[in-house]
Amino acid sequence: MVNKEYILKRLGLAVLVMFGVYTIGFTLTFVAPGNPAQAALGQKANKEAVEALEEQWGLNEPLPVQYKNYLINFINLDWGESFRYRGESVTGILASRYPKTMYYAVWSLVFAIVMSIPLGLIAAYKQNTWVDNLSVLVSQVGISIPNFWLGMLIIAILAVWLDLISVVPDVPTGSLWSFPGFFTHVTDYFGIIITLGTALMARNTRMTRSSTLDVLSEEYITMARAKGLKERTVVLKHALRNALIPVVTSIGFNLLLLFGGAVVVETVFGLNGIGKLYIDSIIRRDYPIIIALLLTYTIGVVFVNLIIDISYSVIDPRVQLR
Amino acid sequence: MKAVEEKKTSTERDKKETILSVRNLVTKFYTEEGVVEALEGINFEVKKGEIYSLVGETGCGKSVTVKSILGLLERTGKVESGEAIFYRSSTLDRPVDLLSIKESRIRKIRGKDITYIPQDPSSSLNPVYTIKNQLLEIIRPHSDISKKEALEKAKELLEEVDLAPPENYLSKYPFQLSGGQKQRIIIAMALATEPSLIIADEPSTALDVTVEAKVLDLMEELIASHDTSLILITHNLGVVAQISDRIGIMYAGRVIEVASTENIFYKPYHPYTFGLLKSVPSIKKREKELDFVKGLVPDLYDPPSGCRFHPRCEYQTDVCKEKKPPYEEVEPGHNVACYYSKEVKKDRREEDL
Repeated sequence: MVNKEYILKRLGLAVLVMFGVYTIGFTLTFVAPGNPAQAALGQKANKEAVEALEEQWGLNEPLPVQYKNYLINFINLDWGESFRYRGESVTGILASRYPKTMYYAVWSLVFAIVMSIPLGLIAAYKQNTWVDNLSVLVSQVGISIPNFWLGMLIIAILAVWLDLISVVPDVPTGSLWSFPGFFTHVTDYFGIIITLGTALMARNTRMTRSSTLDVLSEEYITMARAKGLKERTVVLKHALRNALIPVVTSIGFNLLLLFGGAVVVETVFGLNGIGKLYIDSIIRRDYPIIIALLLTYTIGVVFVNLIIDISYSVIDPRVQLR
Repeated sequence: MKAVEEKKTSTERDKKETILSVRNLVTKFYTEEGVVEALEGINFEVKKGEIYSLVGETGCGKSVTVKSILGLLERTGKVESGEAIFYRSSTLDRPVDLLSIKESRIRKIRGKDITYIPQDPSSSLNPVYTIKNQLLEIIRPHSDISKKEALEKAKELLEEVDLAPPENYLSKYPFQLSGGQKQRIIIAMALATEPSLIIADEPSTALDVTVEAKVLDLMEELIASHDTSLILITHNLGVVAQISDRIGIMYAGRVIEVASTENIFYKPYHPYTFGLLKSVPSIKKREKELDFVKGLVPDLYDPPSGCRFHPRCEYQTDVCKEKKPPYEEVEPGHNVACYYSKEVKKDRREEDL
């Protein structure tokens, strides 16, 4: 099971990963053409003003110095001010954006898991019946349909035509993560949750189905039946837990894709979350935001991976975390 | 002295009551490639307290036979006709036909009155649950005992299969045990509910030769001490000679000869049995090239007409190609399905088996 040594080792590795991501991310951001000061002041701004702003932002320093400064400031939790939203702290901006994205990401994941695991399981158990065909259809369509298209479809049908949901969820960020706001605001974010969750749900249905099919043909399933166990026990106790082993890995991996999807969905739904902030910051060359997003996101990825590895060892006793 | 005693008990067993009687069992598999006529009318019976062996080559339908009886066939398999009357159901006071009762009924017999020992112990235990979990799961649902009593029972069982002290094994996961240990645990599971019949599907093939011998000895001992019957499926004639009371020889989906162990080994009536025995290596025949049954096991997608053995049989005539030979008693308790059993009898006198 999980021991302290293992966690420490993983944390050490995490530091290395962060360092690598920071180096690559910094290089790509700063080497790409474009001048943030010019972008902030506009193309017609005079040269002196641009140079003054560059100095204020430390952009006139040599790159290695800037590389060092950003890293040290990040570690000291002194993330500075945004280039684009002058006078606003990076911390403040992230604090207002992250909760929204996390909110619908969590619900998309819940939606995907709650839909896909039973569907995949039943489809495999009733292979070649209508349930199975339905699951294959759902996963095929879900995987094929692009997020932005599904998003627009949902807006057109649910928001415009049937007037069931509002396109842009207008909810104070604070109440999203409170009780009972966490549950009641699902309706506000319904369109986004479905749009983002569908691809994950589709992939996961397929994964659950195929891994359950493999498990159901195992000898220990025959053995469980030979013991006279009820079908429900055979499937839910003996098959499901084994079938979940590859599914857990796949969920972890897809969770990371979910954040990629956030960029698209937020653009389509006009939601000011992390995805939209990312795109806007890159376009406006808002270096402090880009670096802060990059590093916080990496921390998230590392953390999610750790959780997955631990849950993996909980499901499968053969996995020893070392 | 011991040998004489054993002989005596085996003749006593002949008179004992029948606990399972399988008649004309036909099973087919409907696959995408076509229909496999896996069983074409299986007949045999098992008596109380005996070890009955079903012997045959790979693919002759041994496993399909027992899976049909227990209702454990995979989706593509279907029992077409026949009956399997079980006389010792503890939940019903009358004989039941295992092939026609409801799934919920057979579930009460499976794991309680009839237990199953699968071929490969390593893949038959669920890798993610402890031995304790998997043992209690068969003990508890089939009896009204408390968890504590069930745990005591589990410990007793482990001691009985020579896994002592039991505490060392209960908390283990299957991957922490050896193949022999896992097979012992499976045997303990099979005995857990005091069944009247145990079906073992090649219980020792996946084990090393030394472990195999130990496991077989153990099984023989436990069958006797628990007074249950055993159907032993195997392709190994050595194993069969060692422990069984009666033997059924299977070929391509049919039991072609049934007799006591001595009769099968010394007085075979079927050309296939005769051929099989000639192919067993012997010290006496050391200089000679090893005999074997010519030809291959037939393709069951398109089985031979009449007697399925005829293409490989040296006694075959036209009648063998046209009509399936009837299943007849040639001596008391000795049944054969062959038109030329008398000729085989004559020939085997000349050969020294």
